[in-house]
Amino acid sequence: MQLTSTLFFVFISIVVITYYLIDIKFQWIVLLIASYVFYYLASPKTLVYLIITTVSTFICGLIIQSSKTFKSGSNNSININLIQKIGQKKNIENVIILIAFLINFGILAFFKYYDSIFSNLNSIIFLSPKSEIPYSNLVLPLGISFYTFQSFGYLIDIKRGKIKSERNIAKFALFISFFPQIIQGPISRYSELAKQFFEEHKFNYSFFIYGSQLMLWGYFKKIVIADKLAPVVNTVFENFSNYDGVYILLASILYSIQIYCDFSGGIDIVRGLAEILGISLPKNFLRPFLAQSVEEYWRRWHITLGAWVREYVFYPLSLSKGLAKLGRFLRKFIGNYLGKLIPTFISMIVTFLIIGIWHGTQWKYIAFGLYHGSIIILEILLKPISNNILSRINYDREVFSWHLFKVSLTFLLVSIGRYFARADGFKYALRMLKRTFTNFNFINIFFNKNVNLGIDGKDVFVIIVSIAIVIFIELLQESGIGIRQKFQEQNAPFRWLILSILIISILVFGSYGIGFNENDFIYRGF
Amino acid sequence: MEKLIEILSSVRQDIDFLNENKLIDNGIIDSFDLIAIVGELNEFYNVNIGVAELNPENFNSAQAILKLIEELKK
Repeated sequence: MQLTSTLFFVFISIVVITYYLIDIKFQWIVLLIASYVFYYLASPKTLVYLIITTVSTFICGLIIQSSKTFKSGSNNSININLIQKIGQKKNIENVIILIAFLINFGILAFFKYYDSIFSNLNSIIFLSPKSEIPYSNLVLPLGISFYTFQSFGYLIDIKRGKIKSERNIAKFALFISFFPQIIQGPISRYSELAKQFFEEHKFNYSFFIYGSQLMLWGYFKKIVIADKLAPVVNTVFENFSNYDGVYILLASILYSIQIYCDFSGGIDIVRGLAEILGISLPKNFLRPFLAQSVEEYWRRWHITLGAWVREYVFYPLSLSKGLAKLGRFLRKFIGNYLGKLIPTFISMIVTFLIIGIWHGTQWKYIAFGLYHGSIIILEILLKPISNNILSRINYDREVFSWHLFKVSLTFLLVSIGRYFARADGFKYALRMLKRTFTNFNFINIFFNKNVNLGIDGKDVFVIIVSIAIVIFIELLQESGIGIRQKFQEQNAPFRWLILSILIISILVFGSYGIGFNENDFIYRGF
Repeated sequence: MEKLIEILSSVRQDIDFLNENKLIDNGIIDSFDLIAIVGELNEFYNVNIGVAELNPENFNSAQAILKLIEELKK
């Protein structure tokens, strides 16, 4: 079931109506049933893996909780069940975390990485086609990267004593499968999301309007911008050797815009729908293309994944005994400054490698992660030097032009990183980079009228106007204006005029029609 | 307290750890400093300050850090 399909609208209408008509204490059950029906309709063959993750994480959570209760001495009853018995064993928490990791990340790795690992192996050991390890052609379970990370975060939070384990498996199943977010996140934390399911939700007109507007905005970004940019990006990336470097760079910049409108549009739809249901999901984007450094970009882009790796990978690794020892050693011998930075840089590179591998195991994703990690390390190392130089020449760093320069440079660096993410493979990304730098031919963009970019003049106009609208809205938001509140303060005729224009533009300018393949959300594939 | 101040100063000499009480809230120490400080504290006091303890309230002042260490040593 696509988020842009008629079936989806029928489905959510039934869910929303039932949700608000039914007795309040059964509302969460409506969401649970809806989530499982949605999953079954969207990905019927892989429902079993969602259930395995749910059940295994639930049981592991109970055991870790039982171990914590035992250690604190608050459970003195003589009649204890099996889970409590297991919880009393020494070091059981780490063993259980390891088991949960092996089960859930094992399933994730099998589905996600089987084909790419064996295609690498096949090419490395040059097997003849007959003896090649066969491709599995497995269907990736819907949302597996998102729900696996979410469920593992739940266990770590119990181990750290931040939350108590859920005792009702049906309630826990809802936390893992909540249908708006199962497709492409955001990756939520139990402490923030779960309690909302079981609170009383009366129909709230403001939430309904705000949620619907957010969904509409998401559809606009997805259907009018992202899906319209897809043919240009696909045409250039698939035939890059026919294009000058300037067009390859342009396609990469357009891909940055496409993937942002696709992913953030999808998240807006999901968050808007949750808002209609009275549930607040975490923000996943904070106008990433207004970031003034790549480090800041990662605090604004895919925020929930960034928070997950920071919380469960970066900090634990940085605080590990090995890196602490290395830090002490380095501070003694090469000085405080670098001695402090180097161990953290190691954690940073590992963290970005995991972000890269989260997308897939092809070399291009590993390069994508290393590229971002290296750029951030360079930013940190160069910052004091550039600050020193700029201070000496009395260069004002608070003016608009300097901010614009930094925003543009960050956007360019991020777009170059997309060569790795979007190219068909690592070697193609390198070839595209080489072509960009050795065969740029900037002037051709003005004089070469015979370039086919897979798009006509009318679409170019629609895309430019639509992107300008998004930039305008985001600049307003960045300056602290609450767009939805401000919009709601306007008179009804004006509001309806704007909403009608938005709906009509989605229907008229959106990418539909015979011969058009509805584009799936890009992040649904991760 | 003296030893703690000495440890903190070994990571950042330019901060008055004895009187400063918004080390994190005011961005006086960054995450690089924090990680180095925790490494030193774990080693010297033989405690295990983990991610769960990395809250601003535990690291805003030397007094708060000392309190955290004492709690972990219990």
